[in-house]
Amino acid sequence: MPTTDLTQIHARVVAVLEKRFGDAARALAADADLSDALDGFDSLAALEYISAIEGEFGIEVDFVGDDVRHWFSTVDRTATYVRECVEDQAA
Amino acid sequence: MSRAAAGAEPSSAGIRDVRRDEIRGEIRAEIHDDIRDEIRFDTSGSTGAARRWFRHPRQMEREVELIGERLVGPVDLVINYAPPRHLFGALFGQWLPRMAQVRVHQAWADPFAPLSVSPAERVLVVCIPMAWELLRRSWPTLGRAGSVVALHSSAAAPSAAHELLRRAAPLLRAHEILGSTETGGIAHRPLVPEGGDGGWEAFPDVSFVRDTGACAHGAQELVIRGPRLARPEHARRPPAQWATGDLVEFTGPRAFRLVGRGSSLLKVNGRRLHLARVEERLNTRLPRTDCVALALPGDALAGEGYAVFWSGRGGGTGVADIRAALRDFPGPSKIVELADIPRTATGKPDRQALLATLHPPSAAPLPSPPSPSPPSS
Repeated sequence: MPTTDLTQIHARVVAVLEKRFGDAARALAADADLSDALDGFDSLAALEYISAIEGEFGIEVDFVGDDVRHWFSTVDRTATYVRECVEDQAA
Repeated sequence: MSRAAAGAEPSSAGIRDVRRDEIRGEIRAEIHDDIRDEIRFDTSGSTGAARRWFRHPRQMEREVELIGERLVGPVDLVINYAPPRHLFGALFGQWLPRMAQVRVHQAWADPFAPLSVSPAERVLVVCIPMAWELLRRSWPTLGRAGSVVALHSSAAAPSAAHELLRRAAPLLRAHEILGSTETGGIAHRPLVPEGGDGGWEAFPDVSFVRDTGACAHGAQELVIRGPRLARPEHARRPPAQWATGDLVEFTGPRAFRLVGRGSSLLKVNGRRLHLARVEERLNTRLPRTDCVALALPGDALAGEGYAVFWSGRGGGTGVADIRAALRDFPGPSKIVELADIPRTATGKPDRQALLATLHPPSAAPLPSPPSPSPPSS
């Protein structure tokens, strides 16, 4: 069953970032702005990040309705967004 | 003061020398003008040092005309997802709109911004792999266009591309372009809904340097000649030919099938990397450590990545030493310490066994519970 545990989601979000950014992702503060903290996290990398999160959690992000620039700017916000999506799916 | 006015009649040899100097000067001036106008593109070398390549405006125009006429046709709007710091983005996201004097939306700068497409507009979309996912979601808007042509370059098209083509053809048609910063476009093929590994057709100004000694049906490295090769930084003109590092099987005079990369060449986060160079570096810096570098299976986010497997043999080496040795290379995705490097009977690193260590049995999913027994009859 998909998890709604925020700590577990957080860890999986970091794991997704680690695939591309390695140790730098592991060392990230949860509220650090990804575009500032990760070298190479530009607009296209953000797009890839969102797509990878979709794949990891089996969700589809609403690019039009949701403020993706906000929700995917930090690990904390991403995890919160993912938990809400998973909860919505389960409802 | 002229030499004649000074009473020194120049000899015929002197006249020839003066003329030769003038000619040299003209050539120098011409080269200088050419170089001044050139457009610079940076790529990363296998050891991490940036390499600079220069293309002349005539080469840019020629490529836009060639691909524009052959594959694109008339357009009213360009939606560009390829950053113009790369050749593909510069050609079709900057030069084509400028030459055709059409509107351009630089979608790479803000890929989440909504698209604005007028009914019946003829649209060109300059795609990178991630763009297809956006196009799929934006299709309600994009589908209002009169026609949509997509150009895709530099990587395998993702499944979203095939799905969208299935849904949106014939309004949407797409072409893949094989090429690089060094070569410009080499060949093209239609991107089709069913995917598959269709053959490539060379652009008309590209010619192949074939290995006459090679087996007619065997794979050989793709080496090309053409007027759109880039000039490397320290050369005065582009090379006469260029070895691409791709392995191909020729299927016709101007057609080939791509077999794969000719060497251990990867692109890690857009930077080129020869795994052979990684091993060479590790062997030099850490001679008492047994190291093997292997490419990892592709990943949508990580792109092409590699792992370093190492055995310290009690030599005191640590992960930090490996990272330090590879500081100016794109970093490995994984560094795996093993008691020994598994080898095949011929002494080569056992690739399968090495990759299997990435997924130890303890990490494997739990076996499914046994199926209920069928009711006895």
